[in-house]
Amino acid sequence: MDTAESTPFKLKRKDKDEDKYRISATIAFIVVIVVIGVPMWWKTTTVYRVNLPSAPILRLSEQSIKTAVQVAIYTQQASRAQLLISELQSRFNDSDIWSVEFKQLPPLANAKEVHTPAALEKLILKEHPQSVGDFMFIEWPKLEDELLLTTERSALMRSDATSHKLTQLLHSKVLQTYRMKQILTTDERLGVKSEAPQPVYDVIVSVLNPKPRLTHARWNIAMAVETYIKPFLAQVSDISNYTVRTQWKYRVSIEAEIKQVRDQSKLGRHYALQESSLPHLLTSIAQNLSASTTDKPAINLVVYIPPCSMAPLHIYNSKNQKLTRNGVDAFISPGWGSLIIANPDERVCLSYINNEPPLAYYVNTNDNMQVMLDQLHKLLDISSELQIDGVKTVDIEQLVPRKWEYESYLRRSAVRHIATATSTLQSLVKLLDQISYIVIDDKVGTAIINSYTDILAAKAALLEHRLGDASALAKRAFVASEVGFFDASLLAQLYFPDEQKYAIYIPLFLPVMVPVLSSFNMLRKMLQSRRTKVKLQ
Amino acid sequence: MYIKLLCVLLYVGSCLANVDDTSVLPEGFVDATQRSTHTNNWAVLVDASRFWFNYRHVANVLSIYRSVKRLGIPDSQIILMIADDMACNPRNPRPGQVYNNANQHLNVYGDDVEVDYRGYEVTVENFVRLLTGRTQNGTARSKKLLSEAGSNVLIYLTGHGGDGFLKFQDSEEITSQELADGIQQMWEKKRYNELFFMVDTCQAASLYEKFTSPNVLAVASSLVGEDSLSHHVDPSIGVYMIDRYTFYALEFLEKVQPFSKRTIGDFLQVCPKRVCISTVGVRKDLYRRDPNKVLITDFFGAIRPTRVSTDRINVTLANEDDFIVSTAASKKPSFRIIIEPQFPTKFFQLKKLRSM
Repeated sequence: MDTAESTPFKLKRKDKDEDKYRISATIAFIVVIVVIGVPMWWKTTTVYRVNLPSAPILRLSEQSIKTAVQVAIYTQQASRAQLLISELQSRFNDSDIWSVEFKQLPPLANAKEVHTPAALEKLILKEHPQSVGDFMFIEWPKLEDELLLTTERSALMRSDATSHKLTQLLHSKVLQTYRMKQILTTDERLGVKSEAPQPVYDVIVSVLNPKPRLTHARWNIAMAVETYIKPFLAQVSDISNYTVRTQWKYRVSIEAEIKQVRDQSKLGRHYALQESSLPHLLTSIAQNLSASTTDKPAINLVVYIPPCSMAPLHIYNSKNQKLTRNGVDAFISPGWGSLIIANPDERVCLSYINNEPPLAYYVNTNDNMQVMLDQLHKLLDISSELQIDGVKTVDIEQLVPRKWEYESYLRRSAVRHIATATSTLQSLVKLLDQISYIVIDDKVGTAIINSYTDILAAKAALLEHRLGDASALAKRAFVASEVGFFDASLLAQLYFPDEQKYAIYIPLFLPVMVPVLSSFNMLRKMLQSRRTKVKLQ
Repeated sequence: MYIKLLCVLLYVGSCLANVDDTSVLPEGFVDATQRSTHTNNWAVLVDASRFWFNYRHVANVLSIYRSVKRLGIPDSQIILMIADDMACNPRNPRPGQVYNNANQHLNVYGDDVEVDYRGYEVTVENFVRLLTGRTQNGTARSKKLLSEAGSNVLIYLTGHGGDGFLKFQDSEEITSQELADGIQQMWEKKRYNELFFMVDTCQAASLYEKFTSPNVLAVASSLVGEDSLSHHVDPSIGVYMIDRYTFYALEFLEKVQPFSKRTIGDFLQVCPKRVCISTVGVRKDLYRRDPNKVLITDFFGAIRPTRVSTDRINVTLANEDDFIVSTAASKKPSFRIIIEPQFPTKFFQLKKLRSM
């Protein structure tokens, strides 16, 4: 019996000697795995997320976008201005888009000396300078129409102009309230459907000559664009930057039904292009314009030179009426671009009919560029085409757009950018709050935060009469919000949600953890036995 | 209460009377709310399966591609994802052609197919990136879905699916949850006006079950628990040609012309159970308009608003002569076209000379 018991006892003694090491080894393992390993694993596998001002961003739309505008009124009698102002004020008081400040300009002493409205305006502006986005009504008794919109920030009014007419003019032309409402509406059926103005555009001017062997059209399109289009775009590049390219394209045929029509001209016929087939025509040529080679959104300005076999070509509507006016056949497609049909001269086609060798001719630059400029005004959405009875607008005679029109475009774009950026940020924050495993890296984080602060600053600038600042800030906010929303890194962990994280790591860690956990148990037992021993002793 | 209602009716009536005197009140009002408000069209067409025995899926997706292109959506607004190249597959006895039936009536491959994502580019990741717009840097513009608040988007998926997923490339799958999330994000960012979701795969209806986004109309070739069946085999190539649902859909679409008055309601009836064998599933609860009043061309066709504008801005910055002079001056030196002979006949002539 003794011997039987003696061996395990001896072993136990030996064990006891080794216990020290065993315990310290176990403790070392526990320290490494539990104290260093687990926190490190936790730290390295947590999704990196920059802290975002979620709650303030979601509250952004509570505060409406309000724009301050100053409208000055100059009349010869102070009482009339006062009356107009009080009437106008009451009409604009309850507006939640505008905060219009009406200002009465005191009659000038030397006003009687000037004989033209322009001189009077100059005189007034010397005394009371305007800032960007402001507007002014000037009374001019000898006016033909009730109101005349100038190309500057002003309108002339006849002495009997009513406050109703002034309100109408402000709402529909200067402030363009209906379009603002379209931007700000929450009803998705009534809201604007087009894209907000982008920060960069490619403007591609293409000349299409489908039959270069038969149509010897010559044109220095590059110089024409340098003279007309580039200087114009340089004037309107506050919102977007434009890069202009020109190209000639040959052998690009149009797919559209074209009918011959007899007429009294020397050629004896012309060709009719149906208005309804214009969209199809654009689709057929769009592929060949190589607009897709650029990464920027493109505005296509196309000049199409029909070959003499189907020239002159004119656009007809569904009632079979010719839509040509002043020799211009052109159309625009908002969001895509425009097309001008540049029919060859009559003598060129006459020689074609008589089977003579093709005549070389020069395409008329001024003619086509003037039409193209007008198309650009419409495509960039600068011009306001609404007509009101009794209100006339002075024609543009320089390359710059009308100041009030352009500033209305700035205002609209600013509001558009703020509204778009706000909704983008809100949807992004909602998404990020819902899905916890989306990475928010520093780039996205700063984009969101910058955009948020810019939105606030832009809103403040709009309220403080700083239209230039507001439009620059709003554009920046819009660009940053788009960068944040569409950043590719947001999808980096798409296939690695939290559940999968455990699914992958648990098989890896469990085999390591089992001995560690069991050694916990051993330690506990050892301590217990020691304690009992102490008690026994 | 009744007075209020009467007032509303009177108000609506007066509004409509201003617009169009001839319209009767209820009909006019209904028409106004049913009219589509879209400004352009986009199509995303995906064939998610590869290998020769899945010939039919390529035929499926090309059928829809052919139809939307014929009805006017330009290639720049069609995103086509095809996981394999059947037209140029060595086993294809008719290279460069893909047919939808054994009699070779209709070559759905056509002359001009622009594939945006091909082969191994067709992945769940790329598809989700495409939908959410979060493409990798350097992705070409033509490979992006650049739709906006006014776009009607058609999404067509085909491949092998199961309950709640669609297999991509035989190696990964997209779940109905991921699809629903992608579409919800499109909606949040205002990247579609209305969305028509079409899927031809087994248990297809499971893919649209998780959708919550508004203005989505979904149609699936089979209900959960059902298989979608293929139409017929071409013994000369030994594989199935096309799936039943898409076969009948194409048959319908072939009869549609750009100004057709056919409606989506008609389209939803194209494959009754007796021909499809599977039950076509439709989900309309997210869609606000009545499918019977929605033109098929609202999704399969394209609109491009155009407006004749003949105004000009009267500025003259240079004399016409200056441009003419500059054109004449900038004339490039004239060049001669030399056509090289196709065969080097010169050498033969020399030999002849020597032998003589």
